[in-house]
Amino acid sequence: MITVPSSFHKAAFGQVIVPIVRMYVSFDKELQTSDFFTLDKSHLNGHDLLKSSAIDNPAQNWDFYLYKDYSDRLVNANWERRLEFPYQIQCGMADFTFDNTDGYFTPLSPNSPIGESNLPARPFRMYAGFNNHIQILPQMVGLTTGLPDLNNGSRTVDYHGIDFLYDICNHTLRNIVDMRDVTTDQVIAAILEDYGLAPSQYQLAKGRYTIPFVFFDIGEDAGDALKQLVQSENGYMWLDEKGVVRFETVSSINSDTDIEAKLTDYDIMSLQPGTINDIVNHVRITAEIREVQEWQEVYTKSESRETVSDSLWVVRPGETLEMSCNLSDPCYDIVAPTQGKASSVSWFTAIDQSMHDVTDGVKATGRLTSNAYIVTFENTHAYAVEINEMKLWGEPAKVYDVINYDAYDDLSVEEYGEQLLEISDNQFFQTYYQADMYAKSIIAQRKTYGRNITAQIKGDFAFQLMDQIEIETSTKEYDGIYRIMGISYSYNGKQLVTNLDLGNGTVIKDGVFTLNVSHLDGEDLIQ
Amino acid sequence: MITLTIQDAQDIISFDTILSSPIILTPIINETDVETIDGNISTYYGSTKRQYQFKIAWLDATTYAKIIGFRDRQYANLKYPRISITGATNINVSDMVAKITVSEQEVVDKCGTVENVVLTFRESKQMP
Repeated sequence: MITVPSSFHKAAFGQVIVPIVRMYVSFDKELQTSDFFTLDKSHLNGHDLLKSSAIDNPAQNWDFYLYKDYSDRLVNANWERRLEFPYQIQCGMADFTFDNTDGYFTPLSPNSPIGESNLPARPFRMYAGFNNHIQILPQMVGLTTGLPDLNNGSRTVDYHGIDFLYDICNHTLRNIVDMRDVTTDQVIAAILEDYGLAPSQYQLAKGRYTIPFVFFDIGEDAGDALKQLVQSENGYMWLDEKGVVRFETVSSINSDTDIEAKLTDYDIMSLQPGTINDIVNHVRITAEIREVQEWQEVYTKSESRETVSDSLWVVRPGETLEMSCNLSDPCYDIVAPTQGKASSVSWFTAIDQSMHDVTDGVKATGRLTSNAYIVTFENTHAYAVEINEMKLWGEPAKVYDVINYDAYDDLSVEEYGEQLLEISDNQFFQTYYQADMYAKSIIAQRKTYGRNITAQIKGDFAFQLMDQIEIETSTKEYDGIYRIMGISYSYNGKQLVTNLDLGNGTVIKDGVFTLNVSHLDGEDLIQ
Repeated sequence: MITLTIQDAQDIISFDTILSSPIILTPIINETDVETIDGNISTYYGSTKRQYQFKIAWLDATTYAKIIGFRDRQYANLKYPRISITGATNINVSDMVAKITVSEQEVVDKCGTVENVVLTFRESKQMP
């Protein structure tokens, strides 16, 4: 819950409610200041920007753009934030419609002052509050997608936007992420920095688990990586309303006694139970546990015995040859081979067309991928050479154990049939304890029908994901404590429709020592 | 005497004597009532705008054409005209931006006189 005075909640749940939504867009992506950080002049943590080649990076600069207020043109706005099951990463989206009577937003229109800037990926900020309250709260920061849809009949224009975390999840890695013995937050930080975020733009709780080996190749999907990491921690990741990426582990989730709001009959328009598909009563997790080994031989190219073959590694005079060497295990590191046989390091040998040894003049460089080592040979001679033998030494991450975890709730299976959640693609589950914590939480939250409900309520813009709320109605049908797993708002100038996706509030923290909850000398572990 | 003045960037017209018929004021309240599960209601309120309607018995062809000019220019120039109403107790309209709507044209003689003209002015805001 965003901290606001009680009068804000009163305005949200009152008799006559006057919501207001403010919409700001930076079409031209102009920066607030043209000042760049100058030594002996600028102040640390001041307003000056660090000049970089990524100055046009909307992610890094979202705080520094000049946003223009288009609220007066806003016809309607829909926005939602949601934690996607079973990964628990927020997905934020917004649709907003502007009055376009004068062609202001029509791309390429001579009447449009923003014509040439009316392009995809324009940063926007959305705020909401209540007319009789001074406080207006940030709701979303993100980027528009695509070009606007023109509605010529109604003379309006529709924009679709996604929050920055959604964009981060859609990006593919530009650099290799190769780490060992790191905590989850360190890996997440590496992925966020690959996207272009500065450390000031994210706040990550320290991961509970150490990952022995991580390797993400260039081009791999950042979203998949983040989902797996967050899931293995049973944590949560979201972009807060101010635009800071947040990651929390289960340890930092509020204890069950912290109720942020109580909703009663006069706050709720309708309550709907979820579907049978929301039930999970059986969790199966399969994961390989890898550990980085000592330096050892990881690839061998045996001495070639043929004289003419397409499979020969022939480097033409003055040219290069790139070969992909498939690895049986991913490697943390491999040393580039040098010319001439050697022990305990990578090496290669070369021969000329007369089968005589070539002892110099061939250089090799290499690049590691998730399942191969790409080696490039450069031949400086004026004659062709053949790379006839090679050994690569590296630090392979070998499987030393396999987790086959299986948990289910007998009673629920009997009542609703087996509702299985199978996870076999997440290699960040590194211990049975980790799998157990995750599975127990999921089953506790989802084993019975009605533990997940959708509530249409009077909207309170201070609500945040994972807030714990209590439903207390006269029918008592769905009374209980829930966590907000999704919030959607729809505003059209004369009505605000707010829907909450509410999940069962149970969070299994067994074994995690929590201040003011756990007992000293009890069973919980201090991390 | 009640005077209605319509003006835009290109023209201005005032009616001083012909507004003997009633002026209908319709408040347009942007609101939605929602019913909570206990059967009570709450109201989401956005804004209140005014709408004035004049029912004019007849207009000569020239005046009618001028009014049609205001209506058409709001589409051509992408700006609504402004109206003022003076001389009526409890009606205080000064330089109000309003969309103008004109009823169908009932021509009743060779001079082009139009009968039963209904002018509707719906308050709005002016685009910058």
